[in-house]
Amino acid sequence: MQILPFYMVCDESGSMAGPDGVDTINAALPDLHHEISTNPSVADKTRFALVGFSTQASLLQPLADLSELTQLPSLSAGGVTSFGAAFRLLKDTIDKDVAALKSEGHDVYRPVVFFLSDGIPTDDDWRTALKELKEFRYAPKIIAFGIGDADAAIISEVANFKAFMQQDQTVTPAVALREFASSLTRSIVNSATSMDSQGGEGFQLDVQDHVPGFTRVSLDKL
Amino acid sequence: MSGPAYDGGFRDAHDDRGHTAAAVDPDGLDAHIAGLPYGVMARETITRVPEAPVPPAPPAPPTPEGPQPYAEPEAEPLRGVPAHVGNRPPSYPPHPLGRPSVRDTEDALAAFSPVVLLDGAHIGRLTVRAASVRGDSHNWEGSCRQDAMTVTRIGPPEAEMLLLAVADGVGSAVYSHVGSYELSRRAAVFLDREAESIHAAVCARDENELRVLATKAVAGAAAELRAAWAQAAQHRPRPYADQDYATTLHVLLIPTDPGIRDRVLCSVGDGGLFVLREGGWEHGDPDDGAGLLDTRTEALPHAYRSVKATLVRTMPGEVLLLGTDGITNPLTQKDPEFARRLAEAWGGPEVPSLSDFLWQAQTRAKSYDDDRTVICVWEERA
Repeated sequence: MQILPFYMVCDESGSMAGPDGVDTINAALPDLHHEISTNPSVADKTRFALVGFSTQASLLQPLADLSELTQLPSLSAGGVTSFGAAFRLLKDTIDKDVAALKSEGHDVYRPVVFFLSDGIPTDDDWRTALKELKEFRYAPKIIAFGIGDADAAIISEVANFKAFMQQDQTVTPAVALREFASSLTRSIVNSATSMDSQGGEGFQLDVQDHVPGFTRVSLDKL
Repeated sequence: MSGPAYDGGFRDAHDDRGHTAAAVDPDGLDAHIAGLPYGVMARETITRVPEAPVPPAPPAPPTPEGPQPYAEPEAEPLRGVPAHVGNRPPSYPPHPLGRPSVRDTEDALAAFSPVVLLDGAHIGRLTVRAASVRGDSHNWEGSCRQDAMTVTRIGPPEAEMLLLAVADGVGSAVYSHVGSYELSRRAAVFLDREAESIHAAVCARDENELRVLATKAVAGAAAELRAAWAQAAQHRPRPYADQDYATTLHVLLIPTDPGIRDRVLCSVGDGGLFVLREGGWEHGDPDDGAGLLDTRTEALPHAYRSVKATLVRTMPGEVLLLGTDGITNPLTQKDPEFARRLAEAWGGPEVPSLSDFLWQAQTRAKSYDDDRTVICVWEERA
């Protein structure tokens, strides 16, 4: 099989509590699950995992075929914002997942990470962990989203594909989070369905340049 | 079997026969029929009036369990849904779904394209089976098959070649089904014009000359079609663009003279040729390793540099498989089950029937949902 693994990595720090945070994402997860698991052109080719991070990072949903799950776990807020814990867990998980899929005889595409945070990292060594994640053999493509107090420069530093920041004032974090979830779903659907037109030699990671409620941030370093 | 309607028919048959049977029974056919147990003869056999000499009826086939005259055929084992490899079949439904409407589109080819094409040939010692099947994803969307294929012959009798072509319309191009359909046919016409030279170059094993000839023919076909498409686009809101018609093309030419062991594959883009040798599939056109040009991204009518021409030498008993990536991708995936299954199906002593070939070509493999076109050639041993 040809498999495209997606990882959703969400900030669960204390500031993400309530309707402007995890509640909105939790409410959007069933739609994401339904959309992906009921579309065979997506369900048969993708795997989905959910990682939450605050003081620690945890693999809330190990990489799975969504059509084989009845529901997704939910996020719960509390703690500080350790980017480093998220990146280390992500690298370790991707490494094991890709190796396992390959050993089962699958052809695995480069994993895709959707990263979301509402703040600035509280740990010191997150850059080291990010560098290791971006340079290891199965380094994922990262799309980063910042809401609330997130810093545009840091969000663009995390990303290596596209980065987005919540528009000031014009939208609430809840609206932005709903758009984040639907952008992720659309990306999974469009990327999976583009695999055929790429002749099996790759896929077009399809992330809209314009996500409603967000402004795209350039990845060019100055 | 013994209802009134049937008896009526039977009686009429006897009446018809009565007028001529006495006069015309030169070979004893009537006597033979009369001697058969009641009900053995099919009705139409009895009503036949032997106006001309008829050879004696063949002896009834041996029936060890005794005659079972009108037994309904035993329920034939139905093939059903094509088999799948792996733990689970694809999530897609395994039968044809929606399709484009004549009303919705000016694109008649899309509305009228069959979801499945099945073809074949037997020429000299060569036997061909060919199938082009809409992929699960296009089936699910209700869009048309973008693959195309052609099975024909080119050249004069002394330089005759079997021509097999597969073309894979590029998924994102609006009229790629038009590109693949028309290019695979026009290329055959232009290759026919060069057939004598191509045949001579195959005999001389001159790959360079073959590349020149194939490029000339394919470029000629592409130029003619581009002009026609541009003309047609003047009546449409969408301006003409080459990339709307993007397609790959692979043409395999096989001299029908069994003394010539070389075949030539002319290619633009991905997909390709495999040879089934000793139970395993081998790439018929391995990359030449030049590395500078990524042929996988090449497409007609515009985005290619030249047509690649590759000589392939095969022996009777080997099976050639020409396919689009809808079949070559699952065939070359890491898990060998799909490749093994097709090798078993197509590597045996018998060439499969058309319907068996279609069923086998439709072997399902989760995540491989592209249009699938596959043409196989078997060659009898002398």
